[in-house]
Parts: sequence; C-alpha cells; structure tokens
Amino acid sequence: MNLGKKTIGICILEGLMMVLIFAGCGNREQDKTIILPSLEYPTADTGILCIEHIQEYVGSGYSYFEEVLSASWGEPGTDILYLLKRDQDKYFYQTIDTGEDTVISSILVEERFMTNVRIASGGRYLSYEVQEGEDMALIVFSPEQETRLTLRMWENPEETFSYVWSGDGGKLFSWQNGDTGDPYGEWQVTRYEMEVDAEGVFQSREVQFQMRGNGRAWRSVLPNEDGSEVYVRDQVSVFGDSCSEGELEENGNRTDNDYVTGDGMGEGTNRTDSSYVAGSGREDGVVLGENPDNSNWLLLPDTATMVELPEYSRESVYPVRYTPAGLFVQEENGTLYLIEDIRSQPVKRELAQGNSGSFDPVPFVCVNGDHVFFMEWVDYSTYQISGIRIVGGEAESQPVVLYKESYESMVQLTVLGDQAVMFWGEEYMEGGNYRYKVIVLEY
Amino acid sequence: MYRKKHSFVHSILFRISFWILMPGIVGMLFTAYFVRIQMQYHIERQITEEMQRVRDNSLLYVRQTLLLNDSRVDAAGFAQYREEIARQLKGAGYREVFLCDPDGELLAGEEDSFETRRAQEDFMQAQKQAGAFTVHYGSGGQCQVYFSMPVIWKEQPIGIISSTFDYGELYGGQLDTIRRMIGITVAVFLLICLVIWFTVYRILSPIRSLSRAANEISAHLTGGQQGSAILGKLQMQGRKDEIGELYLNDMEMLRVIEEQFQKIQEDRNRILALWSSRQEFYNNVTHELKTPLTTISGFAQLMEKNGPGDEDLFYIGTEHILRESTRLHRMVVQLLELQNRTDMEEVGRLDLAQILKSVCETMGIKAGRYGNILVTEGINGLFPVLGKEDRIRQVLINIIDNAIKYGEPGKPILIRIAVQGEPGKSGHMETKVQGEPENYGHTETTGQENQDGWVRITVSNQGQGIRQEELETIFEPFYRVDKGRSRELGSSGLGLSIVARIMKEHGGGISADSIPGGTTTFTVCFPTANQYIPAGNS
Repeated sequence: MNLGKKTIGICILEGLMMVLIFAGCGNREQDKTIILPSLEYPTADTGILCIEHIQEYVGSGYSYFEEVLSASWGEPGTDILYLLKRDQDKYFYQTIDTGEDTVISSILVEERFMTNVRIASGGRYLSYEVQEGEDMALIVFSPEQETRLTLRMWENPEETFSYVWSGDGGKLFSWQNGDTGDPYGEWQVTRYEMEVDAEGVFQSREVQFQMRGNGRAWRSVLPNEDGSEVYVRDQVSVFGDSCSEGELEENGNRTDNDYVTGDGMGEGTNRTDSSYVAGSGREDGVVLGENPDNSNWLLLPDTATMVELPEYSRESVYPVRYTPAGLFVQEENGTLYLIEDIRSQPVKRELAQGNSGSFDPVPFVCVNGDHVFFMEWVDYSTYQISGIRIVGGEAESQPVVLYKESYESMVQLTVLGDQAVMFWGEEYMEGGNYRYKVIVLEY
Repeated sequence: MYRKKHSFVHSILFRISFWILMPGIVGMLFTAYFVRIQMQYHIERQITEEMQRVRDNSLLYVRQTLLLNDSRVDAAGFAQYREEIARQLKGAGYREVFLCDPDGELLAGEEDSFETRRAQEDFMQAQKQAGAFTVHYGSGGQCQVYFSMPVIWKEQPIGIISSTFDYGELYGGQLDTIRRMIGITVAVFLLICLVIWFTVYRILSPIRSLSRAANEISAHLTGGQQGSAILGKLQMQGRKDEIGELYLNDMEMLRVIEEQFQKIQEDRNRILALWSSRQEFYNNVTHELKTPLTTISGFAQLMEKNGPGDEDLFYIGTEHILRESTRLHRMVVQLLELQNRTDMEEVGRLDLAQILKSVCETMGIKAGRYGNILVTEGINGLFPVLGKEDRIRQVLINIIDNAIKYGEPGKPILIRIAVQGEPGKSGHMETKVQGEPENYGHTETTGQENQDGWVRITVSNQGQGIRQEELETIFEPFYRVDKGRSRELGSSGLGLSIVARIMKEHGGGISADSIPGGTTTFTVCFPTANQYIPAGNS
C-alpha cells in the first residue's frame, strides 16, 4: 500500500481526532463540582416574614365511615382545637386539648345529613345546613349552650345560598334570593348576630339588606373582622368568563333578562341604570378601568346603611378579604391586588403572584391586612405555605416559603387574627384509614 | 485475463469512500460530542436550579423540625434533633442523608460511607459555608448528585447537611435520546454512503470494463493477436453522459490502435519478406556470378595444366570462357540496370503503338528463328504516353523475348494494345493470378487518339505455362521458372525484375496470367499522357 504523504498525514490527523472524540463521547466516569450562588439567609433585621413557632397536632386515624368536616383553632397560643367529626351517621362537636392530646368534650350535634359545615373562628359556633322536611334550613349550633338555632329556612332546595362568618366568629352573614321571585333582579344580604339573652336563651338579631341584581352576577360578601362593615360585589362574570370591551359596551345599558349564573355563590339580575363612574386613579396606583355591569357596595349593618362603591377593575376578580388596609382581590392569573380607598377613589396595587415554582396559589390575609399567605402546591403531593408582609400598601419582598410538607390533601386554612396561620388536611394511611393533621404557624 | 494492476487503496472508489466516510464519521462524532456537552450543560443547569430549591427546602425543613420540637434554631437544636431532621429530609425524598456539625463532624448518617463523602469537594465547600454539589457521571449512564450545604440561621452556622440525589433517569433518558439520534444519523449516513458508493461503483463500471478490455487487448496484441472480439463484447447501451462519451471515445481509440497494429503487423511482414527477398537476391547474385566464374576458372586451370599442346582443349576452353564471360558481362550489366533508376524528370510524349510496332518488327526475326510468329492487334492506333522510349522499348523487347523463348515452337504469339478505363483490379505493380486472362476483348482503334485511361499491352503465348505459385515470384530477380531451360537459353533471371522496375518508374504496372500447359499472358499498363503521374508521386 503506497499512500502519499499528504494522505497519510490526513489519515493520522483524522485518526487522532476520532480517538479524541471517541474518548469524549465515551461513557467514562466523570465528577464535576458546582458551587451554588450565595443565599440570602433570613436574619432578624431583614424584615422577611419568619415563622417563630409551629404547633402540630396529628389526630388519630379514622375509617372510611368517619370524617372530619371542619376544624377551628382556639385563641392563638392555646392548644385547643375544635372539630366537627362524622362517625357513621352522627356528627360530633369535639374540643381537643392538643397539648395533652385528649378530647375534652364530644357533643352530638346532628343525626341528620348536614352540609356546608363551618366552625366559626374561636369555636364558639357551628353553622351548617340540613334538610327539614321538604325545606332546607341554616342552623347555628352553640356548643356552649348545646343548642341549635334555625336562622333561615327556604323551600327551593336548588336555591343558591351561601354564608360566611365574620373574622371574630360572632356574626354570620348570608346572601340569598329575594322575596320577589326574581332571583336575578333582587337579592338579600343578612347579618345574624348571635347572642345569649339574660335568661340564657340562645338567639340572633338580624339586619337585612335588599340588593339589586345586574342580571348576570357572581356575588361576594366579605365582612370585616367584627362584622361591622361588609364589602359586597356583584360581578358580571367569573374567572374564565371575562367580558371583552365590546361586551362591556354592549352590556352598559342592559335591560333584558339575560341571566347567567355564576359559580353557585349567587345569581344575577338585570339592571336598568348606568350610574357607575370609573375611578380616575392616582399617581401612585394603577389607572382603573370601568365595568358598568359590576356593582360594589359597603354595607354597614349597625346603621343599616348601604354605600355604593365605585368599580375598580376591568377584569373579573375574586375578593379575598376586606381589612382596614383595604380590599384584597385576586385576578384570574393568580395575582393578588390591594384595593385602597374603595369608598372614594379606588387604587389598585399589585402585591404578589404566589411563589415561583408553585401553582394554584390560594391567598389568605390576616385581620389587619399586613400579612398575606399563599397556600400553593409544589407538586401534586407537596404543598407549601408562603407569606409576605405588606408595608405601606406594598409587598415587602417576594413570597417567602414558610412551611413545606408532603400531604395528600389540604382541606382548610385560616388566618388566626394577626398572629398565626392554621391549616389542616388529611392523609391516607395503610388499611384504608385516614388521619388528619392540624398545623399552626405562629409568626 | 484482466490484470488488476492497482490496489484497492488507490482506487477511485476507495478514495471517494474515504473522503466521504472519514469526514462524515468525524463530523458525526464531533456532533455527538458537542450534543453530549450541551446535554451535560443543560442537565447541570437544571440540577443547579433544583439544588438551589433543595437548599431552600432543607433550611425550611430544619427550621420546621426545630420549631415543631420547641427548639431554638441553633447548633444545639440541630444536634439534638438530628434524627428528626434526617427523617424529615428522607421523607422529602433525600437519599443518604448526613448531618454534621459546623466543623464537619458526623451527627447523623452512616459512618462507613461518610468518610467518602467527607473527602468530596462539595462537602469541603459546605465546611467553608458555601452550598455545592458534585455531579458524578457513571460509565453506565448513571448520574448521582452529591449535595452539601451549610445550615445557617441568623448568620450563625448551625450544621451541615449532605445528601445524595439520583438523576440517572434524567441523564440516562437524555443519553438514550442522544444515542437514538446518533444511531438514526449513523444509519442515514451509512445509507447515503451506500447509495453514493453504489452510484460511484456504477459510474466507474464502464471505466473498469475499458481497463479490463485494454488489458486484454494488450495481452492479445503482445501475443500477436487481435482483440476485436473483446471490443465487440464491450458494446455499451444507455449511457449518454460524460462517462458514456468517454467510453465511446476510448472504444474508438482502441479500434484505431488495433487498426494501426494491424498495419504495423502487415508492414512488419512485408519488411521481413523484403529482407528475405534481399537475402535471396544476394544469394542468387553470388550464385549466378560464381557459376560462370567457376567454369572460366576451371577451363583456365585445365588449359594451364595441359599447356599449349592440347589444341582441342584450347578451342573448347576458349569457347566456354568467352561464352561464360559474355554471360557474366550481361548479368553485370543487367544488375546495374536493375539498380539504376531511370531519370523520369524529362520524359517525352510517345506513341506506344509505334514503339510496339517497331519492337515487333525487330523481334519478329527472332520469333521466326524459334518457329513462332508475332500476331498484333490494335497496333495501328494512336496511344500517346509519357516516358522514356528506350526504356519502354526495353520492356516490350523483354516480354516479347520471353514469350518467344518460352513459347512452344510453331505457335503464334499474340500481341495486343488497347485502352482501358482502369489499369486493372490490382495496382500498378500487382501481378494477377487468374484462371482466365482478363479482358481479351478486341478493340481496334485506328488513327484515333486514346487520351483517357490506360494503355494496355498484352503478350500471350502457348507453352508449358507457369504454375500459379510461381506467378507470385517471377518478377523477383534471378527467378526462373525453368532454370535448366533458361540457362540453356542464356537467361540471367533479371529481365522481368528490370521490366517491373521500368513499369513502376513510368507509373504503370505489369502482371502475368498463366494456365499451366496453356496460354501465358503478360500485361503491361501505361497511363495515357493525360493520366501520367510519375512514380513516387502517387
């Protein structure tokens, strides 16, 4: 074989390249160390929200025939947990000392099937719905009195009805259809103030507001901490059903009865006026748009006064909490906003959008409106609680992860005053049993 | 047989394959290497992001665990609740969890495997209060990540967490993807190479056939054979491209080579024949010269021995010496004539019939002496030719003289002169060997000038004739059909050779036809004056 020098040179060169590349392509063992960028650890003076104490209570397991329907923590700093637990067909209201892990009391509440069960903050009352004969009934149970009080009964079992407790757990607000038979044209908001008279009789005092419907409504009723003020919103659309500008113009002078139900929390009615004037906005806020079909009110039950509020958002919003700092709302994309000065010239401030790397953030706001928490999922088996501090109407930082846990389901989260976050969930155990776990994060 | 002279390494097919395969393979390997580097880069970036989350989570889990146990978030709490922390981390998916104090002393975890972890770079970085991880790529597609981080709370280091994460599924998956991609690329590349190789092979097929044919033809030619049959096998159909054109041109070239070879072969044979003839000529010359000299020498010696007293011997010897010396002289003169070329630069316009008539009158006397008569035809016509009269006369005398000498006594010798369009089928100097004399038709022309064509003179006699195999050599010097009789008649064997040369010099030709025991005809053709082209110019 008589190859030329040039060919031999090229062969050698290519051979070397192949050897080198083969060496690079081969699966040889290799170690590589990478140093992570430095981390800003939270310190005492960084201002980042920190959890100072964590309380955890893991309840005993229960079978498929048992179920915890609602839970509430006592005053922050105490170890008292209130539960409504179903055992077979009976419902028991339990008071548990989590420190001692003992059930202080277990009271039989109902033997009928109950729905929409809520223990008021502080555990003083339990509200639920049952069927009484052909009618539905909203009942409040006082564990202290061991007495049931029927607040309201209605005939139509399909009537959309909802209620909410005030932050202090002393007043219940319900909203339901009106008396005219036009569920979309008018509706009602009722405050039930629980009291025990001098003779020890458990009763309630009612204040009711007649509300105008806008024909296609999604309604929110948010009482403040003590129930003295109630923010009410009647919205034309829900998430995923936002109106375009053309639709807004078309709906501006709507007079027909084109009703669209919302998410089950209310229903709309037609409106005949166009009395809304958009807020002009301020220099430090977002210029607000107008949506003439949305209605906002502030109810003052103590004086039976209803104040109509200006609209503040073009987009559909989910009102989260009404606090002294303002109204917290969440838009469909998950962004949380603070609406300040809702009575006169609302200003919309963007706060946060949950934690990066998580999804489905659900916001919760403390009583004062200066702490916001997100319950969000990292993956389908891990959730986390993150929080931010609000100072001067602005978020102090990005949401900080406060707690992370692998759990199968999160059932309920409640902000206890302005001191702690309480949440509980269930997890599956071997043998077809479940158990619940309650966690309180004190900050 | 086809001889493969070059090795496969030097073939076009190998070179093309080499220049396609080698860069292709190198390119593919480079691509694979580059993709692999890119893959590792992306994996490491992804792992870095995840390790940052792991670091955040780890810190959170430590705090959670300590707060849940009503412990302060400090080194003491970290050490006290190490098992709970390790359990929490393992519950979050960490593997091989090691918890150490800020100095790197093991608090929780397996001691046996900790020594290995302690020596790794990431752990040493954690001791320097920097989070780090070491990616270990195994030879079997494994990818282990060893993560170490300091646990710092309120600027105080409270411990070190080290753990292991398995990214083999991610790395292996991507590696498999790359392997599949490379596999498909290699398959496609090899398919393309195969197509190219096949195409080149087909393109080169005619060239190989030509090479094989050239080799075989070469082998045949070397053996003195022709290879036309091989060319016949190489008829190619359907190729109209450059290769086809080259193929056809090469075929034509081979055909021309073969023709030239054939001519060379013929020339070679002719040269060999000439050489042989020349040799025979010299042999004849020496033989013919030697014979009379022997006679002369013999009688001279005998006369010297016997002396003047032997009167009979004197007269007989003198007669023999005179006769042989005369023959010798004539032979020398004829040889000189044969050798000398006629100066044909100055030729005259002659009437061939007049010359023939004159010769016939002269030779008629000799014919009468042998009991023959000369019968002429067409002798009264006008046949102008260009030439030397004495030489033409010599030609005519010679062939008529031969006809007389070899003719049967009492038989007429027929002499014809006529004009023909062509000199005959053969060329100027070609002898004819035919069964019947050609064109014996009588053409009588009187007083009319025959300007175009050839003047043809035939001299026919009746006698023993000449055998056909001898007809081919009668124009060679010293050749005699019947040597005994010619010697008797004093023939030197050079006459017809001289005639042939003279005819050639005049641009004409001579041929002979004979039937053994029958008629022998010698034909000479002269170009007419208008057709005359001196010999050497044609």
